[in-house]
Amino acid sequence: MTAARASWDPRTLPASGSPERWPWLQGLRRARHLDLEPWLQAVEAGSLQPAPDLLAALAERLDGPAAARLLAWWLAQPAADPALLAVIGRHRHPRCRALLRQALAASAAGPAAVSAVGARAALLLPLLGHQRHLDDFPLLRDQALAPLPLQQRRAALEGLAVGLGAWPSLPLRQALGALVGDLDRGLAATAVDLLARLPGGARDLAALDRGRLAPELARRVERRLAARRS
Amino acid sequence: MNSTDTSVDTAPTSDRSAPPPAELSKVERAKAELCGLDLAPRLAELAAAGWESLDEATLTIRLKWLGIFFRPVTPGRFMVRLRLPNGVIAAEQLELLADAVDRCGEHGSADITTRQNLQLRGLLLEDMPPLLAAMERVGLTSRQSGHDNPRNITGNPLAGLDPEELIDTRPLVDAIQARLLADDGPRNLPRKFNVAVGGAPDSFLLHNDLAFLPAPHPQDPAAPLGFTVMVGGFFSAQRNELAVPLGLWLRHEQLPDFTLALLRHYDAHGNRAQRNRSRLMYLVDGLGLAAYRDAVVAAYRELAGPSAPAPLPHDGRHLVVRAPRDGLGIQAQKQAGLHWVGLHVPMGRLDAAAMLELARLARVYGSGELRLTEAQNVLIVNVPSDRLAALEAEPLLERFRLEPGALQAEAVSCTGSRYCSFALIPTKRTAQAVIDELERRLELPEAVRSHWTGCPNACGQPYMGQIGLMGAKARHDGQMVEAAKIFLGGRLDHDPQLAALHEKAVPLSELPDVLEGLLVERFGARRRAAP
Repeated sequence: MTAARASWDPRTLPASGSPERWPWLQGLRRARHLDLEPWLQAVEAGSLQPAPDLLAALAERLDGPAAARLLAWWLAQPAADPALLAVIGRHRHPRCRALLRQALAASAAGPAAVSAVGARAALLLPLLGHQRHLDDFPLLRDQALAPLPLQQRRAALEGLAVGLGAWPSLPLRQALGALVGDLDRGLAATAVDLLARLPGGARDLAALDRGRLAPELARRVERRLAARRS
Repeated sequence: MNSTDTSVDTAPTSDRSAPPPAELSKVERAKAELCGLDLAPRLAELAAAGWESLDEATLTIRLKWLGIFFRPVTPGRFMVRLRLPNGVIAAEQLELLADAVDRCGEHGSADITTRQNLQLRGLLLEDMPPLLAAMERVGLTSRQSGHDNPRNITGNPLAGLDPEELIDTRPLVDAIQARLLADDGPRNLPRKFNVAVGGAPDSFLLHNDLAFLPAPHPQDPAAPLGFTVMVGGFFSAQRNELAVPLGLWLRHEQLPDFTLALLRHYDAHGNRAQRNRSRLMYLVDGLGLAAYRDAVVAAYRELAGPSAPAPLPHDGRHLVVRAPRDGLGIQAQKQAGLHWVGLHVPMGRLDAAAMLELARLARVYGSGELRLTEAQNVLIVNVPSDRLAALEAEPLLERFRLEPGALQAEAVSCTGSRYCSFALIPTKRTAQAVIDELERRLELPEAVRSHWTGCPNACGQPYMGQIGLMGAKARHDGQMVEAAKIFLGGRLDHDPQLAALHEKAVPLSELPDVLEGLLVERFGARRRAAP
């Protein structure tokens, strides 16, 4: 199929639900030569909806600039499918990072009580961390520590997690140390797990007054320290 | 990602006969430039530099030679797939893996796979060097567990325990793995390759590229059992085949070299131009079975040497005559006074706490060993009679039941859309919800094996199910919705056959009703009285 088809025209993509769609997309995925530009243009023009199966087929072709164009499209859609974001947002590129920063700035400026805004920020923060750019550390740290909706704070901490090695060590340890004392058990547990991965983190964990931690969290600290010793 | 930012030196690793570089696919080019195994000494350095330092081929292809999987659906969170020959794992090993999952918090989980294996999710790239080093210390490896490699080798999950055992598969599986992972083993196959060894009358293994099934000596009925060789089984989006007899019989000690010889032949002659026509059966088709057999025998003779006994001609008859037992519940081992205890793990998914608890139970009540089954369940083995009652009272057994419902017991599922970008439905969650609902509605006279898969790639083996379900999309009330195609009739007994399409794309919202009707009509289910 890949050899026989001269070009892969977005207009000939079988509709979702068609039995021909899966083999067509597999042929597209395996095509030796594929011009991505018509696909990007079709998405940008609104004539093609990038469903998850289509993006999965195109994923290996996307480079940073292409991903940035799709990310810009996604961010412009008020009700875009969140499932698309991971595939689009996994690329590291200055334009992707800039788009994420802009979108997060816009959501921060909006009414904090609007849950849709917070939900969108929660999707974007891990991807910003995944960009692993040093300059984004303060934003992620501040959102993880701030009195924001929990979903957003957890997303910011996930951003710190997936960029772990890119952040400045001492401020990161300080932030995680503060989060160990957070009232939210999920945030505190993740902070313990991340601290345990850092050079010097075990020392921070050992220095904690475990008697003041929730029993479950104290046991978690013990487990992380025990693993370091073994 | 910028493809010019590679920090990994690439130089040709092989001059084997292959298409010229210009004709190679992207995957073949990546493999030819650098073998992923050569990344092992630099893993710590690469992990410290972060995923962004890796070129695309290293990130998405080569790391799989170390068992490390970049997951597009969870950017920054990686997966490790182990190798657990014959599905055997020790409590100490499971505890180590539990700790790795535990430190991933809500992102961490482990799946028991349909190859008696484990894959851990939610890991950071930084976790890999210490994890792989710790795994090595306790005798675990993830080497060559993904992509174009010989995958985890399966065997009888009850090996060494089974009153019905014909041959203990454990030493054979171990020996084959050792031979394949040796320095002269295959490192760049045209495609993935599944090997399995049968050891009991219910060792259904015809879905493997290469399966060894117990069979009497073709000329001497008094001789020890050996194996007939079956080749070419696989499932894919394009084609589904059960393995066919190659027409050879082997002694136990011939299996490792024979497997290596067959893989070397596949390495040299398999299709590298079209990945969707590269599984072993295509090579068998291309050469013809007789010519293929002659070529493999020649490769074996060359490897084993002239003094090694030749494979014997064989008619392909074997001693596998029944569908696999589920192995669940308390069952007597062949060793007097000992039992295995089969626990049902819903959809094969484990969290860290459950893994730790399983390890503890295996230590406290058994010999510290566990087995994983192809049906994605777990067995605690060597439990003495006088420990059974206490084990039955353990809280974990309320979650991982000894006697699950007739649909739960043999439900197998692929990963689904939570972790796989190809899946069209959230397979595990859907399967669990539908089965829970059906078991509320119905009583079944016996277990029904259902296989759930998220897409036509068929990782959940839908063609092996009495009922097979495959994720799809369908139009319903004017909207495109998640759906499942229904396959019926898979048989794994003496007359095996693949399930065939019964109904196209049933919306998930209607699936319980449609399956209820099928279970009543075809599987003898009775509707429960309304409460």
